[in-house]
Amino acid sequence: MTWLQRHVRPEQIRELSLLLLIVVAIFFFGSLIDGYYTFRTFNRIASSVAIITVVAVGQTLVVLTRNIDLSVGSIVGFTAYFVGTLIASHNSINPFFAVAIAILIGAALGVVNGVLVSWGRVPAVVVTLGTLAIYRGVLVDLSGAKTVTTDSLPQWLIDLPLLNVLPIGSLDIRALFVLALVIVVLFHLGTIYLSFARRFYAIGSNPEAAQLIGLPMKSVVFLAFVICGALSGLGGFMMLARFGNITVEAGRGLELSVVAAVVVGGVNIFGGSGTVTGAMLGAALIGTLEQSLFRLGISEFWLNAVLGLLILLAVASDAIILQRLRALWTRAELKLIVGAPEKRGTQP
Amino acid sequence: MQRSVTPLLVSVRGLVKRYGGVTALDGLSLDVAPGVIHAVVGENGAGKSTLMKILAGVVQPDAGQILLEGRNVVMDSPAAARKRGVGIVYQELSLFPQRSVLANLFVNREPLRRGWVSTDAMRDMSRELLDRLGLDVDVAAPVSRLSIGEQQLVELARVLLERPRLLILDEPNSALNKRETERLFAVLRQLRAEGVTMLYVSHRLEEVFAISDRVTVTRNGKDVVTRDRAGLTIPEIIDAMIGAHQEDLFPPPLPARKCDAPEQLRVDGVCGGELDDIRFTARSGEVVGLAGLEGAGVSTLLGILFGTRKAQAGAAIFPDGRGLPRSATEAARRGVCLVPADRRRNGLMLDQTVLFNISQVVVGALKTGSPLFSPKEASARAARQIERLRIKTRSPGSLVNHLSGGNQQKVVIGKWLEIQPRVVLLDDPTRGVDVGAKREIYELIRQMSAEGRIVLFSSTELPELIGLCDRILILYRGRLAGEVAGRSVDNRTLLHLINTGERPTAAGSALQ
Repeated sequence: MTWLQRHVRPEQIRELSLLLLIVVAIFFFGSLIDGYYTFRTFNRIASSVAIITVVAVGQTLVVLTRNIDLSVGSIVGFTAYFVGTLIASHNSINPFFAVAIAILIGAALGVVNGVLVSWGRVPAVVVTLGTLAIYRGVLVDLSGAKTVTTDSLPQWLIDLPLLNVLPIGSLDIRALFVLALVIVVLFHLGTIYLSFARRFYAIGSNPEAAQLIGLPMKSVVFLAFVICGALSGLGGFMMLARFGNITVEAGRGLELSVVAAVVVGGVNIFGGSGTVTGAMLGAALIGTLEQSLFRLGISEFWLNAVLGLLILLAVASDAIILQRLRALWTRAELKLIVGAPEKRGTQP
Repeated sequence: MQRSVTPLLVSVRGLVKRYGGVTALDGLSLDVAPGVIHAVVGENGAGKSTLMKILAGVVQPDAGQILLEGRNVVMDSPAAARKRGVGIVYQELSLFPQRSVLANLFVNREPLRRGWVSTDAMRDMSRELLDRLGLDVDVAAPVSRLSIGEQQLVELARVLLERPRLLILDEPNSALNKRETERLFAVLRQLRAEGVTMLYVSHRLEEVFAISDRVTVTRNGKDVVTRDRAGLTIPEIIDAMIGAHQEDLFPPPLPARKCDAPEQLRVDGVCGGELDDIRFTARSGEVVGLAGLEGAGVSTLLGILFGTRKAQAGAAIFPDGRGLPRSATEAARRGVCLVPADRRRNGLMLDQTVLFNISQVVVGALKTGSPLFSPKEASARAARQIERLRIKTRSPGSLVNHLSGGNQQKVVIGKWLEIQPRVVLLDDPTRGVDVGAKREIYELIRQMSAEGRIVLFSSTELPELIGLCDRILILYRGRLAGEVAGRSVDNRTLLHLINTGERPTAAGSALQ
């Protein structure tokens, strides 16, 4: 067995290769775009990655249980708009209260998804495709297609995305990015060290076995949808903070980026394996591509095509590459086991 | 002697369980004394697995009661059974493949330290047990990377960590090799010494004799014999398992029609899955039986011949002079058909009509002249098969789901007869079919062979094989263990071959 094989699992190779891919992408775009290696580029990418990451963390939990939530884009838009109008009309509102409202709205929309999937026994794709349209429709109707504008928002909210939490030299690590990192760390640790969170993995890995063990399948899947909704609500608040101007179109098509981030990040679309950190790396790659292609002047439609291609590649390679890697590792282990007694056998 | 004094750990009284029209348990009773290994044996469908599932709380009985230490209990969920100290190791693995060994061992009851799940605690708690089981693997690696035998031990370890009072083992060694089996038996003996009571279900009689203290034989959902192992012999058990079957169920062979060109199917050294170097020849007009335990490779062999599974080595020559089909579509186009064991899952489109199902092969798989679907021809096909096979349905437009099991099976056969198959592969075609329909299916098999088709017939019911087949091939753990002529062989020899892979000899009876 090589050093690599002893210290790294095949499942981790994926995340490492993703990191490598991000570096390659940065060098690639750096050679094409003048003034790419600036802090402005970093900040722009980082704030876009931050929103995708937070929503992708929620999506990861749902995908782990063999489900999918396509309504995240609509939930983000819904909360961004309504929390925006709330703050615009009550400028003196407590910032933390505003965030809590955003999370609650998101969670409530997630409850609808969760109830329909768990107890309504409707497949998640159907439920969330439906709510994707319904949430957006309700938003357009209730808002009367009006827009939240920056000048109606209080100063703290406008300053929030520029808030510099961790200045390293002239590099800014801004509030939204830090928030996303905190969420990732919390959820990464949670999925390892909280017993209820480990249930997400078990259910996706082998639902029949989970049933025989006596796992509460319905409530676990329900919980995944509620958390995903809550994090999408938080993502909606982050979107409000970042752009200030929120139309009824906010967050439209975000589900594509989020699902791409999750799948590219190595979360098995058939459930049961993958990590929140992987999803963050996936989001970083997607965010880098989105912002860089945008600066190259490539249209949004081509961008979507690229995301689609990435999803297909990731799912296809997941099956093939991981299988090959596992076979390599198993063979190396076998050699280790079988090799030893053979030597003993030939000596006497 | 002493057993009459010690209170029973488990006592099962008059259990009844029906699945639709099929009776799985028919008033079965069982008494298990504490601290013994109690084996339950019986043919397929004798009710063993249903009994285990009821004790584990997975299935609810229609009637009867379960007494634990003399008290009436209701096991209405797996959790309830576990709480009462019943642990079960399933025949089919119920692990979480992508999760680590530790995660599997402690799923749903993760040890906490300061409120957090602690892998260190898991390691501490499981180390001694894993050592005892001789399971030396990377506990952080996903279970899917272990061998099947190791996975079986992980499953056993998971149940043992719950410290069950009654441990149910449903064919626990079906995936283990000889060394692993011996280690498993050593562990079981040690557990017995520690006072754990075990219910051991197995097909392999020799192993039942090696490990158990007491044996119960089940047949047709009833318990027929319960005795101490010391007072039993293998032939006695086999007699009890078989009971008296009516032989007149099987129609006599029809006079073979004149065949202009006799055809043959030659299988030459096929390997793949559990199969190892299978070779045989089957001629047209012949019914060749395939017998073997679950996992012996019968289904794999049929799958390879039908093109749904790939052979790793070896070849075959079909009547058309070509080799193994590469896909089921190719098989169908070349006149090879398979009636699968699980017809509801693999054989039928339950939510479609009889007519749709019967036309399925012709329309879906064959390259026929016209690309247009002709409703007229389709109803002609349906009418033809309904009449020929005497399918009891209100109309060709009825949903297949509403037919009885036997009639569903006839629809599966009928859809294949429409393409005039040269090779007919039947994988346990009478499973879950009532007696009347069974007889009709036997007649159909006779007819097909008289028409010069090559028929390979697998079954889990021995009298069927003996009554219908010209020759029977026996598979044991993936190899061809023997071949016997259908009519000359008796139940006992065949059962012995199937269960041990060897013919009964003087040495075999010395084991008693």
